[in-house]
Amino acid sequence: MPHDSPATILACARCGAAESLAVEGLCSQCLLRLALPSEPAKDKALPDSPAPALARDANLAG
Amino acid sequence: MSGRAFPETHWSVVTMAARAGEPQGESALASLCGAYWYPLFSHLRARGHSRHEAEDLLQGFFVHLFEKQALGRADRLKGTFRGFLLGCLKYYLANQRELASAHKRGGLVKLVSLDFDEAESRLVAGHSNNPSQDVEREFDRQWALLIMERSLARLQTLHLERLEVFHALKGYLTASDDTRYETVAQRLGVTESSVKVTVHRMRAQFREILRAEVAATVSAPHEIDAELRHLVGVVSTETP
Repeated sequence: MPHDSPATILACARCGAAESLAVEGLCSQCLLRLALPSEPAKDKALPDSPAPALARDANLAG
Repeated sequence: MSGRAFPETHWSVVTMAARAGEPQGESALASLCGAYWYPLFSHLRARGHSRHEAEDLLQGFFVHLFEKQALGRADRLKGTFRGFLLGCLKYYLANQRELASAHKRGGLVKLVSLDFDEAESRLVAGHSNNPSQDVEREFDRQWALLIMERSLARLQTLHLERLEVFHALKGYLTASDDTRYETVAQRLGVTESSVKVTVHRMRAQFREILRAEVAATVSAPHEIDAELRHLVGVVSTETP
């Protein structure tokens, strides 16, 4: 999991904030920043072509 | 859902209706108050009021709020709903003796449903989250947390058919770029690529939901980003 526990963030794996509030185990600063267009989430891990994966696992995304 | 469309309900409707002297803003205001009254309760408790004092004050405050003279103050309708609510509450507290008669005249306001047991439980649970000693900053902080919780709840409603997938991947909304997904992919019985695509989709959905949630509490679309940046600042425990 990205964080150390569902209730407490010791250090956010994304922004490194050590004292950020947790919202359901997630770093609240990073959650809010997801919605800021000037600081979009960087999804470098995305596959180049998601279509084959989607076709294979069409049931995953619901 | 379209995150680009500015909501036709909520705070923008309240402000426009109030300025035009039209009554339809009241239901939009009641809807907003019903969603966002907890930070007010938390604020009253942080100011040292007992639970029962906070309950009485909040009920009296809502009676006052729904009176035309409270909504009709155009100077209070500028900016965010968050600022409006806290400003009105501070005014109410400063003029409590005079305004308490409104509470007696109006009885308990029925427009806003208040579950004080749940609020008190939430307050107790939140004490482990290092609340700010600045009561106004703490109000904003509780506001930010509520906005995010509501957004996550709305995100979950988009994944009701595959809740186990949602709960398994929710924690990756804020994952770092180099996060590996092999373990969770194995657990879900799917490929790692598929997990990445789903997390990407969930992030995009959350982004739209959160912006829509904030949009409902500001007066104009151009205020959304400023409000988000303000909330980012208040959730940090660093001294501003």
